[in-house]
Amino acid sequence: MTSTVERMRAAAAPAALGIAGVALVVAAWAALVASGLVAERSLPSPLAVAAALPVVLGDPAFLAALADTGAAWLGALALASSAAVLLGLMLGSAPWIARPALVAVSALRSIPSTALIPLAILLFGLGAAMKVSVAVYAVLPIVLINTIAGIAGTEPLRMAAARSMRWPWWRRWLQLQLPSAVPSIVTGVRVAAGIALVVVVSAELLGARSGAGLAVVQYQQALRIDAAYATVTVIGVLGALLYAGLALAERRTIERMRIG
Amino acid sequence: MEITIERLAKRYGDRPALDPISARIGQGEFVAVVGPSGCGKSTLLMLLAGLLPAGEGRVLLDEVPVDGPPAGVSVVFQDYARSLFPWLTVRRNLALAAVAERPARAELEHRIDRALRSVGLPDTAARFPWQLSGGQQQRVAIARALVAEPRVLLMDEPFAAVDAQTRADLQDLVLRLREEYGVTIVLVTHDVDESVYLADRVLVLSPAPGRVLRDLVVDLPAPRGQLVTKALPRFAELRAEVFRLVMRPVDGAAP
Ligand SMILES: Nc1ncnc2c1ncn2[C@@H]1O[C@H](COP(=O)(O)OP(=O)(O)OP(=O)(O)O)[C@@H](O)[C@H]1O
Ligand SMILES: [Mg+2]
Repeated sequence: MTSTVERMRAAAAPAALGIAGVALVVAAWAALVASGLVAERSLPSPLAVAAALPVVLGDPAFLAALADTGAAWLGALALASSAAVLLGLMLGSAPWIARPALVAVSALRSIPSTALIPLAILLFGLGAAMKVSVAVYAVLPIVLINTIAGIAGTEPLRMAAARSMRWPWWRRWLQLQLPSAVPSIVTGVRVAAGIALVVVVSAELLGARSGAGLAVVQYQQALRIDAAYATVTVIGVLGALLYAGLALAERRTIERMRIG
Repeated sequence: MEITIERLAKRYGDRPALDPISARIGQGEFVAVVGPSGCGKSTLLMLLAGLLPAGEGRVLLDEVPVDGPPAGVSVVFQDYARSLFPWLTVRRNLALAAVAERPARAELEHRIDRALRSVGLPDTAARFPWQLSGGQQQRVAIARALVAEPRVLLMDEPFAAVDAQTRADLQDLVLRLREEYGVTIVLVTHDVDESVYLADRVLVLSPAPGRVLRDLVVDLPAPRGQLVTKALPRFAELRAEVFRLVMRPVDGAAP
């Protein structure tokens, strides 16, 4: 057991590095704008973008768009994860189907999800269903593969113990294979969360009717370049926070399961 | 339950792990299996537990052929850490051993508490296996086997990770269980003293692929006791006999 202090100290070093890295990028950005190499109207200075932040964050339309993006992201992640876990549990207990299924999944994955956005627009129009479907397509295989791998990693001796205790198949599923796969599933969901956000925002940039991605485009068209950058910054910061939160949840879960 | 082993053999791929073995273990009898490492002791136990398909021959429990884990048989695996469920508390681990018979809630709680008391861990029910020492985990694994109130108890080196004092206590616990419940016990062990002290018969297996080198009747008086039994001259003789067989197996020794 590491103490809280030790854990905070261990977390402080990467956090400090992260802050230093961000500071460096912002400094380079300021220098680039100050040097006049890029036009102020295609890249405003960090200060101008910071000044636009309150405007963006105070804009109820933007907050609604952000909520819209969040809902599509969460919906896609929840849908893809639950479907993938269910499917993975079924495939994972039948390796002879799992192998060909994985080959098919890998083949499908070689089509980039953003290439499917036009197709999704044709199928689902410009609403939330389009964003969600593309994001589900992008992340379902990730969680699926992790689920199958996690189930395949179930300790054989634990399987023998469960069989010897004459557990029915559904109990072996729910109380042994699923818990054994949890660390792997959680890792899959963490990776999927980042990708789902990128895909949802991309779909919004390319044609959705609502969302934070669309807000970027709209600010740009209104010649509020500073606000467009501020929007991107907000999405970036939220994404980073999300990722950090999920990584923490992942570590906690893996610690809690103690498989190994 | 009576266990009948009929020309039972097993190979992994084309490597034989167990040469045909035949033996009969009577109701309530205590049989120890000893033999050099890798001779197939765990394999034999898995076959008796119905966890491995037999290559040749068969196992009968009260005349019924085993073709899968039978009711009334509990197994204590050699590797306790990998057989317990680390994400569940000790109480949940134990409760799940009895799901096949669905005892009433109160009955189950009672069995769990009694099993934990038997192995000397009454205060660990709310803890997780990884919060316990190796020896304590091994005792939890034994308690789990008791919760199902088995009629046959198959144990694979169950006392390997405990200190000498706890080992003596657990050995006497197992003897007591046999007295109280008339449970049939097959115990795999490396410990020659332990095999002679506990068992009614010792099956000495040859180096891999294991076959029965000797089926030795332990004619020591009951009840056994750590001090009394181990001080008997006959104990020393039997112990020396088993030791000699395990150390330098004589080819063609009469079974
Ligand atoms: N699942 C398996 N696949 C292939 N070979 C195996 C498998 N399990 C055991 N073996 C081999 O079969 C032989 C017998 O193994 P087993 O585990 O039964 O021995 P053991 O007598 O229990 O040994 P120990 O005293 O070290 O526990 C060994 O040579 C081992 O390498
Ligand atoms: Mg073994």
